[in-house]
This record gives sequence, structure tokens and C-alpha cells, in this order.
Amino acid sequence: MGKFVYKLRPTDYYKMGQFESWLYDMSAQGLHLKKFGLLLAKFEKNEPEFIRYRLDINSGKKYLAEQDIFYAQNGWDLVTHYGDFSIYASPESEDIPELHTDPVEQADSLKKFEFQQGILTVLSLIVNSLLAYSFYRSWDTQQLMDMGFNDWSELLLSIMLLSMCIGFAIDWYKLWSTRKKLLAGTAINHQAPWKTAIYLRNSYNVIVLAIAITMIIISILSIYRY
Amino acid sequence: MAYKDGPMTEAMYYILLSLLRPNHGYQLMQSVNEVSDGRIKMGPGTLYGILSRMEKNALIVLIEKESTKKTYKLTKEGRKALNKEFDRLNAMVEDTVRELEGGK
Repeated sequence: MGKFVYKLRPTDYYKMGQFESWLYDMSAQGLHLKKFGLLLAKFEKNEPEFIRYRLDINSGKKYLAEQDIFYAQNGWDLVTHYGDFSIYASPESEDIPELHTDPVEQADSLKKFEFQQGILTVLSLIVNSLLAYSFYRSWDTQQLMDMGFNDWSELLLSIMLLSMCIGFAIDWYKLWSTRKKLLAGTAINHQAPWKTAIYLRNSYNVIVLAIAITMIIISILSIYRY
Repeated sequence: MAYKDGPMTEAMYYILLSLLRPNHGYQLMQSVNEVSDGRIKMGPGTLYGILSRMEKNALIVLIEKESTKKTYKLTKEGRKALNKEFDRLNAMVEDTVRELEGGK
């Protein structure tokens, strides 16, 4: 068994091509995916190999085991499940067909997520609009000069909610554009360039996380103070 | 795509066509390849997704489950949908032939 290596994992599931391309490039460097955690992906360091990875939508808990067996019988082994997604892997070989061979059919499997992401974005927009309105109503320039722990905590919470809303909207747009391309018959580019997009998204995630941690620390400090 | 009497995807049509005779997973992939004269090589993800959906839409029915091997066959609704799609495709071919011949 090789040693384990952990890397920040991408959260842009809907940029499926970039996600799959990243995993392929990792395996070419000898890093073979084992598991996904909340923030990190766990790889096992071994000999470099050319492994195709495919992100797939689960067919519901009831049929998931059946889906895994059927895919394995046809050359695609399960690597890991997380949430509503699963990752399957197969060595690069002409004898093993692609997992999905019909883009229009694949678009259908994403329909439910596009709807869910849309609802999430709209709800988040409503919450942020209400917050912005209440902020505007109570705006006072003197307030900024006299900001206490509680005010800082509220401000950071607002920033975090706003950044979450932006994240939801970006995911919704990406999902919509992926589905649109699939419906037009364009298959997913499994070799899509990933470096810039994944680094940018990971930096954004780290910033949001830092804001959240700071907010928690300020809240705890304010409790001890009073 | 959820079937609502509209045009079918190529994958869906060939699966229905291959299920004129009861068939199961892996064999069905081979069968689609044979029926389409080697033109269509269907992936397991596409096949599994379509089978699940067609079963929900009652176009096919599970007739035997042996361990992980599930055998399906067409239902009356499935046969009707296949015939309807065949008529639609046939009408398109006839229209095309007529236009091409008329254009000579």
C-alpha cells in the first residue's frame, strides 16, 4: 500500500469535465483517488497510470448498489460515493466503452439538480435582499466608528451569506450551461483544462471558510466578554 | 428524457427495439450494437439510466431477477411508443425521399 496524500478537493461538481480531467491528471502523476472528505480528497500514491474517472448521478439510494454492480460488470469500478454523486474509474482501454454515450440522456439526469440549485439561489437572494434592506434602513455612519464585537460578527455573517449566495448563483449558471451543451448533443470534454478554474474556486472556498471561522471566534469572544 | 409521446432519443429507440425480445443488461448492450449494425456502442451509464426511466414510465417491465441480472421486456405501452416513433421516422424518410426526387 502506498502512502496517502491529501489535496483540497474541487467543489464545482457541475463542471464535470474539469473535475474528471483533474482526477485523470492526478492518476497520471501516480495519485489515485480513494475518498472524498468535506474539504479534502484522499489519494494513494502509487505507480502512475492512465485512469479515466467519471462523475455520475446516483439513481436513488434503493438502486445505488445495483448501479455500482452493473457498472463494475461493464468495466467501471466504484471509487467513492458522496452526496448525490458517485465516481467511477476505468483504465484507458478501447474495449471498455464510455460510461455515458448519449449527451441528451445525460442532460436529463442533471435536470433535478438544476431545479434544486435554482431554488437554493432564489431563496438565498431573498435572504440577502432582506438583510441588505434592513442594513440600509439602519445605516448610520457613526455606526462604523463604534463597531463592537456583535456588529463585527453581524457584518461578517452578512458577508458570508452574500458570498454563499454568489457561490449558489455560479453553480446554478454552470449547471445550466452544462445541461444546455449536453442537450445540444455536445458530450462532456473529459480532458477540459482545470488548473485556473479549480485554483480560483478553491481560493474562494478558503476565503469563505476563513470568514466563517473568524465570525465564530468573534461570537465566542463576545460571549466571554459580556 | 421523460417520454411524453414526443420524439425519442436514438438510445431510447434502440433499447426499445432490442427489447422486442426479452433481454438483460450486458446482453442488451450487445444487442443494441447488433441491431444498429455496429453503429451504436452504448455505455452502461446511458443504458442503466434509460432502463430505470422506462421502467418508471411503464414502457418496459421486469420479468425476471436472478441475482444482479435483471431481464426486461416491452409492455403494451412500450410497443405502442415504439410503433409511434417508427411511424414518425418513416414519415420523415418518406418526406425526404419525395422532396429529393421532386428536386431532381
